[in-house]
Amino acid sequence: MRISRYRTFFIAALAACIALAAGDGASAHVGSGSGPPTATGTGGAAASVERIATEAAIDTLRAGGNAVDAAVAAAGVLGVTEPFSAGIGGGGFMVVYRASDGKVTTIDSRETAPAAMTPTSFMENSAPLPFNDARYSGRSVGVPGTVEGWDEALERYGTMSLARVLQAGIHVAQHGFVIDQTRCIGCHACTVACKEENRVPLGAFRTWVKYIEKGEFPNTRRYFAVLRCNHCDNAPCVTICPTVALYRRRDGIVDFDPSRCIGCKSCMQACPYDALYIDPETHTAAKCHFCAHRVEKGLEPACVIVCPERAILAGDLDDPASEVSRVIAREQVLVRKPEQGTKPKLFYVGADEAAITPQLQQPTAAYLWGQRSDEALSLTSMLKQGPAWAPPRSAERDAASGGPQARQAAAGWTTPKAVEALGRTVYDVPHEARPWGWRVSTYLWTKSVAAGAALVAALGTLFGGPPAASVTPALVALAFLLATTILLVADLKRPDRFHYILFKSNIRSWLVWGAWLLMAFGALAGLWLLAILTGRLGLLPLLAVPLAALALGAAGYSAFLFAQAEGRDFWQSPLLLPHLLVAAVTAGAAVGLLTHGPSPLLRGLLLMGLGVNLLLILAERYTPHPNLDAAAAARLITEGPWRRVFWGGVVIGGTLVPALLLIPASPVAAGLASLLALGGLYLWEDIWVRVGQSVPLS
Amino acid sequence: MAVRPHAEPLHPAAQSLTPPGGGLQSFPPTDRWDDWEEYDPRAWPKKVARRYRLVPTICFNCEAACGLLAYVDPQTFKIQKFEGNPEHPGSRGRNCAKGPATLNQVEDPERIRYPLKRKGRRGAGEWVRVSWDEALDDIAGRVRRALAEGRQNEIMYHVGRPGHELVYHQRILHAWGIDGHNSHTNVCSASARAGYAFWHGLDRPSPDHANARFILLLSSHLESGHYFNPHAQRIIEGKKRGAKVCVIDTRLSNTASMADYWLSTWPGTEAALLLALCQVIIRERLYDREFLRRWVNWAEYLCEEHPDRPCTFETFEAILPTLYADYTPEFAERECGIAAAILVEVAREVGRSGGALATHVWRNAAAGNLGGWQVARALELLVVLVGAVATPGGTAPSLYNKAIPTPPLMPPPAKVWSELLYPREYPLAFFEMSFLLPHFLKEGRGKLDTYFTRVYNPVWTNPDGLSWIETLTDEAKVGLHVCLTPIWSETAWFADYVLPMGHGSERHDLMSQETHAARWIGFRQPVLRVALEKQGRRFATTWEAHLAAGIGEVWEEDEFWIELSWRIDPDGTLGIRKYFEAPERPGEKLTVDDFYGWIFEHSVPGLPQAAGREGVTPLAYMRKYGAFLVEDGVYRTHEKALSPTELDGASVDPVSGVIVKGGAAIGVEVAGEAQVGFPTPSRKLEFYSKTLKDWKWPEHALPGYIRSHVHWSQIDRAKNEFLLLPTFRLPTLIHTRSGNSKWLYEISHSNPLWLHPKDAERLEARTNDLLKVHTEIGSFVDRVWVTESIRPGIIACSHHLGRWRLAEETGGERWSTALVDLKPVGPGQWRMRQIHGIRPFKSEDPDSGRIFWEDAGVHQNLTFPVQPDPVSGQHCWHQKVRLERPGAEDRYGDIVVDTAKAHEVYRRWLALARPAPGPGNLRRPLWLPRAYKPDPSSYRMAE
Repeated sequence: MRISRYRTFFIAALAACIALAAGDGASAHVGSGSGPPTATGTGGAAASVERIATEAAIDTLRAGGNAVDAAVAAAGVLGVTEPFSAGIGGGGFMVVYRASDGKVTTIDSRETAPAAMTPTSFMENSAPLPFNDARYSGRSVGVPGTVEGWDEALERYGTMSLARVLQAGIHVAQHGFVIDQTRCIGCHACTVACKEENRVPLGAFRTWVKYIEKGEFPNTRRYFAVLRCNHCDNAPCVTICPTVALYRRRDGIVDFDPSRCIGCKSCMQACPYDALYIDPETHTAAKCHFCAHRVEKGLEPACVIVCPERAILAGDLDDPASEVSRVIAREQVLVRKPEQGTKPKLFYVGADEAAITPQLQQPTAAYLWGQRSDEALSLTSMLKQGPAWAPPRSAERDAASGGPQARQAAAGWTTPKAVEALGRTVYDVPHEARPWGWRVSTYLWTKSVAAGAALVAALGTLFGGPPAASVTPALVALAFLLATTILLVADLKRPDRFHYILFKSNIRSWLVWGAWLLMAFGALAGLWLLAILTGRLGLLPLLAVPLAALALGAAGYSAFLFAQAEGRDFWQSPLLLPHLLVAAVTAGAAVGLLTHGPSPLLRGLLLMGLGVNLLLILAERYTPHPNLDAAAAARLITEGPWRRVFWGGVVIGGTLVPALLLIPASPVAAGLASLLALGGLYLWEDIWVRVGQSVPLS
Repeated sequence: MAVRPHAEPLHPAAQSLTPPGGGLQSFPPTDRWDDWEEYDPRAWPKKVARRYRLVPTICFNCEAACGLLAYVDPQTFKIQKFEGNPEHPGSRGRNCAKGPATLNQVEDPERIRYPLKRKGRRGAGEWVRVSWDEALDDIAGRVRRALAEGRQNEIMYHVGRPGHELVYHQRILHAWGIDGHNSHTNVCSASARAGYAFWHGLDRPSPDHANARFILLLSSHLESGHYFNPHAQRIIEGKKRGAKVCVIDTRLSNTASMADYWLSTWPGTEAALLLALCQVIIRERLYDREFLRRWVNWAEYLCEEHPDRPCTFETFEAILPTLYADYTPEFAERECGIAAAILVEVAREVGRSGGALATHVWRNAAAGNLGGWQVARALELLVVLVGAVATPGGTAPSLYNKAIPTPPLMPPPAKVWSELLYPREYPLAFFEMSFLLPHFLKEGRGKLDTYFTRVYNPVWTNPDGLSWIETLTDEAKVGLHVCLTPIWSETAWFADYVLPMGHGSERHDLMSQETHAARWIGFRQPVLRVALEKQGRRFATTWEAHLAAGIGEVWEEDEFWIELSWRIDPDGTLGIRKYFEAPERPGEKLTVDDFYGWIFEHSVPGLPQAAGREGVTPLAYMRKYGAFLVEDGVYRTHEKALSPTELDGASVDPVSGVIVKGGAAIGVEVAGEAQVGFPTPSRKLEFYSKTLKDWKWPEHALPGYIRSHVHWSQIDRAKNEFLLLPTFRLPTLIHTRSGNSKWLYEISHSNPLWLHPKDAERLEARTNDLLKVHTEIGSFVDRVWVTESIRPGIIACSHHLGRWRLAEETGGERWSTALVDLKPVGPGQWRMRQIHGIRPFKSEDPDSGRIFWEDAGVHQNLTFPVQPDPVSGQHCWHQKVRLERPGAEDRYGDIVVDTAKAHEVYRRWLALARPAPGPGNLRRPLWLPRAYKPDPSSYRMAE
């Protein structure tokens, strides 16, 4: 048994915090001003590594418990949520400070050696065992002390019973689904019952059944996969959602609140499972929410009760007696895309791996009883072109990662023909293929222009470049920032709620950080303009550094946002941040050349920007990708329908031609080069955004 | 970490969440059905409580009669949803996709809400709204005149999916004194029924899948069929308990996908395969000797065919192997294409199953092929050989597991025989030769004065639909066509009256199906009326409740027939009215409460007691629970001993052991014990059918193999000839009644031609390419779907799609129909072309604007000629076709038909029949099942 020192630390820290508590309740409000955010309140405070553990502590205080009651309640929750570091199989310390008499007491509940252990237990042939042998031999087991320590603390200092304070931990039930594909007959009853229960509009699905077929006649079989939200413990949709419209409930259900949703569709990009859609009536995101409204009434989800075969089980994964727990313990289970690290809580019994893994499926041009949309067909034909769907060579090298592409590679499935033999998709429901379109790619570009214009002006001020005291860069930056904002708001399905991003923020979301960065950048650009207009040019050197920094932030933050779009493997590229920064510099130089004529410095800057960017783009296309989806998307750049735009527009028209045009010191040529460079940047962003969304998620 | 705003529980409602302890339950407890609270799903996570009254009813979307539970909002009288009824013994609270889709049908913006009468020419598509009184008086007047003038055979009631199919509708037609019940059975299950009935007198199997050790299916019960959901539950249950599953199906169905053995036969060779299994079992003596000795009519066989040999079981046992000696696994391999080794393996598995062999064939091979009824007989031979008849895990005759409570006031059977239903050419048919009706009328065999169709869409469902259109539009042949339907259909378009009838949740009905080894009844009820009445409102009729709930003047059939019968015989002089008076209140009109109240009080064993324990009337009990389990664990019903009272005055035939009382066989003596036996002439399982011998089919008196009309020897692949398999259903659709279910059409809306890659290569066709399929009487154009899931040489196309309408705005559900141009291009020459597929449309349901699919499928049945099996009367669905790449003129969905050729094909198949009379100058064996048997006197043909 491995003992975590972290756990000990947390409990001690928690107790120390809570020891300050007084009174019989806890309330807090949050103040924000300059400096780090602070919270003030009365009645007590709690801190832990897990929000729900902290909440359990606060709830305990509210219910009249004291600091020690609250500490044990939090520890109980952590025992569930962090079993590896805080599980009840270990031990710990608790440090208690009593305000009444100023005494500090430490309760030691570390594990003790089993009674049968002797001083020579770790010796062999009169020599100590090698450390690792001793560690892993099973001899180094300790008798757990955690629960006894909790009991002792409550006995001495608490006001509540152990049973009472552990309720919180017990209630942190993890609801999960088990879908038994050995029972599923592909009847679609779950699909329709869900539509009925939740009144899901036509064209959208919270759960659906996909069919694949394998083998050649007569050794053919059809496999079914019931697909839906996985209620991930580590849900990327919750992380990216800028307004906390998506959230993980204490019972583990990932639920959503349409009244907070602004329709940014980022959750659709973050979810690797295609679980979300935009409801055409509310224009907000929606998905399976485990029928939380039924669970709240003690009822199973609608799909569970309709299933003729009891192939869908729902229940409490933390209750070892629940049917789901028993099935998971007993049966061989699979989850979808485990390599995404989302900790899905939907377990498949007897599922064919190809049925739940899109990389192992060969798209087909028609379905056995459903029509495919033109867009879906074009995506299919795109992916079937050339070797786009074949695993990349890098996957072979990556075999240790354990992902499906690695398994594919390990099995030698490296030709499209072999992939075809794996699983032919013969039925699926329609999915929104690319939630983000031209507005998003244009936004990347307008943002580059805005940031670049300001950056070049700031650098000019600092290093004596040409357009020191001109209003033009500031005006360009503000105008393009305005355009950026308009594009962003216009891309929302609920533009009327754009302000939620500021006032109902999820600070883990880079959409939120982006909004703040853009605002700060806009404010500083405004100040810059004001300083010039009011003739206070002396301020400019002072403003230049923060302006440059914010310009870089505004240009670069999207890299982190796209990284949070975890469903899109292609976007998880380390080259994105450098590209965005270089794109801003390039755009800034181009704007400078257009507005201030050809200065050698700007020409040099543009030339350098173009060169570096081309290298980054080619690297994006041709360096090995970590997985099949990313590689397939990258191939589409040069082999998909945008290949002409890529070579003609991005590489030749947008990079090589402007570079040549920059060589002569002609103002016309430089202007033309700038326009072409800006055009090339736009085309690349557009290809990049589209390609990233062209590989099906489910 | 401080508690920060983003980390707050998010919605105020979410803050007060208290996860329930003790797990989740599936259904609301029954004692709270009258007032149940749930949160509004659309308002969530705001906790907006909504209260419902839960009213059970029975699904109407296939024949399985699964339970539903309607959630009725007592304020708005809208139905929020349908869930399963946990109290239902067959479906056990669970449903397929079609159950919840009932809501679409109720809410369908396209549904018919008022009676409509045609204006102008029949089929011209002009309609005026009329009152129910006007329609009822007009129809009743015509019927009264026909009855008074002795034209009983000109009144016909033609039903698709029954409901009321027990004896309840028979009551009405017998009261009218007519032989007028027509059904859809011959396009569906006639051959399977015949095969089973020749064995045991009951016309379908009831497998006990849950307890089986081997499950052998010639059906796709994990996705469709009788009775899909209840059977699918129990097949997987049996499989999970260790049963092996073998599916014989040319096409890879979902069911075949779940099987341990998928045997993809050449269609029509299934009987050869099954007999090879029998051969192995006989050869390896894996059969149940004692069962055969007791329950098979081997004595009758020996007596008739080997009178010279000693009439002992040992003689029979010596002869038996010789009877099937030719059906070796190697022979079967040559016939059906399945390796002999696999057949031996399967046969031994069957032999090992002991008495736990659950089997089923319903449509599939039986419905596709000439001689398909021998497939059912061969399958049942397997069951009989291993002694699995009505054993735990075995296969029982249907009626063992069905409860049919007797209604009040059963009229005596009519003394008429309709040759439009049971023509002399088909004395053994199961049942009415429904799909030949247009040809009979064309030949002048009779005419119809008043023709009722109910949930029946022959123009679309039957083969040769254009002959139907020609007949229905001929007012000299069909005087008045009354269409009783909740929705528009291709047939309703050619009616004089379109009368809106309720969906499954909008009418009364008593159902019982043989879903497993038990007997239960299910009570279909109009849930809105029941909910309104629980609120204290009172309605004399269901349609008034529907009007109050905002559905429109939608009637239920029970009340329609009562009302119509009163108007036919207003003063009682025709002797009809008395059957439609309340049993307890003579002279007053029967109500549904009277009717079902009487049945539940008097005819359902155990129900009054169960109701008494709850302190309610049996009717109230059924209204509350919607179902009742009459008897569980029903096995070996044939071994039931006859009581001394039953035996009083009975005599025993010394040779056959048959016990006769009052001229009717009531049982049989087996090993000295008087037992009830089977409802056959021998009261035993008829391995040897003397009936077939007596009725001119001596060569088929034993279970055997008839080479199908589409046997591979008939197909010349060099000429691009193929066998078209057009019979399969999809798990999500209903034949012609799912057109109003948007959630079902959203899932499935295409019926491409399944084509094996090798054939595709030869035809140079790829997925989505068009191919033209030539049948004997026409052609259709469909898209190709290249798949490994079909046998080379076979193409398959589901019959569940291809709905159409003739006018943009009316006459067909716009969720599911293509707008077509249908016109005669010469005498008997028809051409149909799709003008456009499915499109979004504006309606009160915003979803109608979100339709994303265009494909409505292709209506292949129009191009099929009628192909009646000469024995069972089954339409033999499989088609020999020729494939061709389409020409420049051909479009997707194009259909061309020549009805003159169709009539020629009809004449050719008619010539295969061996007409009545049989022994005793009978039209049909008296013992053989017949829907609505008339008086025995009418069985005799005029000399």
